[in-house]
Amino acid sequence: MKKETAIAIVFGIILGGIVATLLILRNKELQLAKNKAFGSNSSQSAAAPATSQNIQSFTLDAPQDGEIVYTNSVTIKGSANKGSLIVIQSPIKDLIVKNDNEQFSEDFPLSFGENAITITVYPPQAEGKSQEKRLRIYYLKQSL
Amino acid sequence: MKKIIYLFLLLFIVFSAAVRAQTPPVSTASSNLTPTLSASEEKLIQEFKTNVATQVAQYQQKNNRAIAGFMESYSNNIMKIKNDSGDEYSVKIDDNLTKFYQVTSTDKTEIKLADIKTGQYVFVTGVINGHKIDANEVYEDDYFITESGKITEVNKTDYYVSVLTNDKETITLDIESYTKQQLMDIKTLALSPIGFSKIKSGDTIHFVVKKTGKEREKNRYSALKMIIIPQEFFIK
Repeated sequence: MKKETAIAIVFGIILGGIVATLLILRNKELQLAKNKAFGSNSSQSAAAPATSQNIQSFTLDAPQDGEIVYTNSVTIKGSANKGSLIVIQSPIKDLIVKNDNEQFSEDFPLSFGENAITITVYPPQAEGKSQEKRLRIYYLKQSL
Repeated sequence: MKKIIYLFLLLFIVFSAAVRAQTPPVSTASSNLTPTLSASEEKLIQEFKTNVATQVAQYQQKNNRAIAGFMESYSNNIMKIKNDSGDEYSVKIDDNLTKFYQVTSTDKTEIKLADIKTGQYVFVTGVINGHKIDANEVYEDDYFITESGKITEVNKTDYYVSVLTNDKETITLDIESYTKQQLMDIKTLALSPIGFSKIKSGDTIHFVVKKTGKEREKNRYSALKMIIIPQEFFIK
């Protein structure tokens, strides 16, 4: 056998091996994707309503604890369960609102200096646990 | 003969290189005053600018906050403050730069460092680096606590209520003549003034007190105001 022929055979085997490996891997991915699609469809239908009913998290997006502001009011933004009761209290203001949407945004007045603000969320379910966040916001006048 | 030619060529190359090195690059600089940037260079500069802007915004955000606590001590231009959570901070006072104020109802009045006594509640603005602050301004202020919990006892003889807070702490609230008492309507959520007799054990309470440091007992305060949410609201 000629040397060139032997080299060509070796290269052919290597190339064939690579193509075969790629084909097997691709096939596995396709199989997995198909399985995932079936699995996710069934879990979505079961989990989606449960998520909307059982979210117990209360998140506060703004303002941040310790923040300095230069206006005499602040917008308190966050999210909580739809239908929950939100109580916002500070030494100068009491605010009670029902959360009609999951997101809430309430303007709240500030007094000059430190403002201790407590935001409490009572979930719509009677057995749900209330959640509370405490903030200290500083209303100052900008130095010139 | 070949050797001579090679030597001649080598000397020519060395000489021309030396001459090139001595020539000032004036002509190139003057002929090309406005540099043209490639797309990748412009992109790099833009990214650099964005990074700088982000860093500046983060720095401002980081320092656009105040640190508060009760003054523990002052010596060698360092004021030690400690908050209710037990966090301690070292506040560096600059004799020339740091300003001191007292918060009044709507504004501030300038005071001196000596006016701030040990145990006084202060908040500090400036450059914050962990638990160290280079103070720009120090404000003397009142310390208010806003909390909520369940009423566990209503004492109609001594006019106080005991509250189990969400932090599982028991707080006694003395009802004073100035205490603003409000009840939430369970249907409309509106607040209306009530008397002490309407408060029941088991109701939810939201309250505001001022901590002066001169309280008669630990966790006993005079209530400034309170909101009562009747327990009926939670029975659905």
